[in-house]
Amino acid sequence: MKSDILDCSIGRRTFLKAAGAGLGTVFGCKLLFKKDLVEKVLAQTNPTLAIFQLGTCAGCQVSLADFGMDMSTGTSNPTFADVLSSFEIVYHPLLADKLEEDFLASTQVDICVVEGIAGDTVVATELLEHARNISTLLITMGDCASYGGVPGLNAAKNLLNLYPVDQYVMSDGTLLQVDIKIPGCPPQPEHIVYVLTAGAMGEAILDGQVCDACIYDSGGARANELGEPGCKRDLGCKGDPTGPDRTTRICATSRSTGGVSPCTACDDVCLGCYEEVFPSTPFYEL
Amino acid sequence: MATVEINPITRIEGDGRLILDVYTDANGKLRVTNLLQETDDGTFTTIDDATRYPKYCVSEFRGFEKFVEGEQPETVTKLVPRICGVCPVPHSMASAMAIEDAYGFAIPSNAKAIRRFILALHTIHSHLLHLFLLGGRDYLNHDVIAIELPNIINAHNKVQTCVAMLGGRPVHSASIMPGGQTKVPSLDELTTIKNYIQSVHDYVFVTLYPTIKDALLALPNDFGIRPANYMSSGIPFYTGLSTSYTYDGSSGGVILNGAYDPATFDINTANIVPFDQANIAEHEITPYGSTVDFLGYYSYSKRPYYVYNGVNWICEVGPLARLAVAYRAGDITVRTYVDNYAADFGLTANDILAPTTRNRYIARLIETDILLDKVLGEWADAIDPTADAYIPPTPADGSGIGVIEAPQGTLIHTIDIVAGVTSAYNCIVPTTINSGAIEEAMVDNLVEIRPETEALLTTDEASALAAGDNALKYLLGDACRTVRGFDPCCSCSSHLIILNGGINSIKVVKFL
Repeated sequence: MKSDILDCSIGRRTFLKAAGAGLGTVFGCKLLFKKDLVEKVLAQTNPTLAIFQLGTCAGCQVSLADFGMDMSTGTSNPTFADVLSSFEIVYHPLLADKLEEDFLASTQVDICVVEGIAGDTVVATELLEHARNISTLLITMGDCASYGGVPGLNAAKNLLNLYPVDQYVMSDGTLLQVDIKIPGCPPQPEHIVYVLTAGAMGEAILDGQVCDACIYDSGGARANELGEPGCKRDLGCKGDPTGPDRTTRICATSRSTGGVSPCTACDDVCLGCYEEVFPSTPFYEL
Repeated sequence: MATVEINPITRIEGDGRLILDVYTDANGKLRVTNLLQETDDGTFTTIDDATRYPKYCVSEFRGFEKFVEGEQPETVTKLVPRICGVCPVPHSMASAMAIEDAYGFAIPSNAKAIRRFILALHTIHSHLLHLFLLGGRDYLNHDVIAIELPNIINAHNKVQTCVAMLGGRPVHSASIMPGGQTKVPSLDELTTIKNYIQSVHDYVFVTLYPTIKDALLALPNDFGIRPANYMSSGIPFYTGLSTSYTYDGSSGGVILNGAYDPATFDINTANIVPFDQANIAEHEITPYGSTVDFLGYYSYSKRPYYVYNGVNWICEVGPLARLAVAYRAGDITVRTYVDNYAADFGLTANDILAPTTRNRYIARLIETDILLDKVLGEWADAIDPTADAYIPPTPADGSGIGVIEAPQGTLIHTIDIVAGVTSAYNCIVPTTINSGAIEEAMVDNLVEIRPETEALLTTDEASALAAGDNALKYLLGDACRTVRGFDPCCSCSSHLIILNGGINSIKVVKFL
């Protein structure tokens, strides 16, 4: 499998160098990417970072904390600690003791990462305007913040008023501008870190289908039931190369998923969680 | 009335805040006021949400129970883990179990063995995350955490790798389905998992153990105290009191012992009754879909309680409750481990199983040890790498319930299936059950950082505190440490149901 991982424990200087070299190839597929903004961020000697959550399961942040996990060796190097040491954390309620008032008092942050869905029943939605105004780069992490994800079913069913971050209306009447969207429910650790470090660590999301990294051949024998070896396309697998919801991004990474599509490797189906339409239900044809 | 709002409370999962009424104690320090008043018989308090203090506020709500209606049951098993990314595994399992119950379907015994194994691994991950990253800063020296961080993350990730070997990935794993487990680990994979887990065990319980033990024993034991009312289903880890609902464990039990008095508390004679999930009722704080105002409708969490003999008891769930119930019910493993730890700590089982913040950490540590040993031994050996673990169930309409112990406590999913789709769904989640207990436990706690805690700070943090850093001042105070001791999950706890006119009748809850 193709990948351009730079998986060594690195210092700040190497980070900047590697990040600079990687700029041209950062983020494939449909991520919004603004090269000039990333360059501006990297010009800082110690980028400031804020990570906060809206309506979310916090799974993206757990995935981020899992960074380094390696299916083939079980040993993590580099880790999330190496990623964090590249930044000055200004706000991150999950791990750092800072109050919201500290965040509201800050006037500039280089990178702001938002996890979770926004809306009426999510109080932290009120932070979005400030977050956008003070951030050079605003990144949505995971499907909920980027596209709506699982709680996005509320909109489809006309229940709670919940919506992805880029549908938040700023006080001037414009929609909030998101600079980079990271797909996945959750995104693999390498994919998050690749974006945060502008390619210095982690791995890029590759264009293609989940089938491309599946342990089964999509043209080969098909399984009749879950738990059985073989292609799961008859059971609802979103990796189906001919299906209406077929995948366009490869979720597999070389380390945290061992280079293979993780869900089909367990003889379950792919739910298509890296796609903007996720969740496209029902998941199963049983 | 002086109030302190701590927003957000950090190092917990999800988004929440505390609104505390405070008073000044004899030493000039702020403490948490309890505005709940005892009634004439000395045992009951009217719970009025507008005037209730202290307030533990969950500030986000996504409405899972409502939006899964109309969905295929198997699809729901894959939607509801998104309630919580820290404990997606038990949510998947509770959902699968509820659907299997509704279908009237018995899964293969190998699937039960695999589920217990995965859940144990997952619980170890969650406990390590809490003991070192989320709750760690509340009792461990911050310099130690900084030095050990790469090793801590490495150990944590090893466990996550084991979960991924059984479910593809650690967060929102595949393989847990109504009908069983789609993945059976090979003998090689089980050997690899045991090797990884052995190294995690050695790191935590050999290398770090002296540091952890000293830190826990140095943690003051005079806060986070609440009545000794504990609830645990025990499923699927521990034996319990009766067999009204069994999976691969027991039905656990509920200790209803009332106000905690160190002089008289005796776990061996504590009042215990059978656990029956049908006795759990729920008080809804914010009506469905409305916005919180932090005064009246102050939280999106429900506040469940256990109804026994007509009395409504607020119970605590989690590792401490699990160990207390299993110890009282006579689980041999738990009794041995708790007694051994008590001896090593120079304490008694009664000291360790008392409802305090310190003990919630000690219990989490002991349970981690138990689960590591079980995973290295009999729970791995119970898996047959050559046998099937999944049989496609025959769908059927009906109602079902799944009960399981998540890392943070008892988790219950219920489903109604009509015409093959989900017609009703409800989740009773550990942190909702704990929301009343958390509020009780904060009463009279110091709001500000206490002098003993300042010894944990780094030099830079001590300077920041001296310069007036409010975040350190409040977030390292005892009230916040008490909340964190429960390992609460706001993501999990934001669950509401629409009650049919019953809300106003639920006003009386046991508060001793």
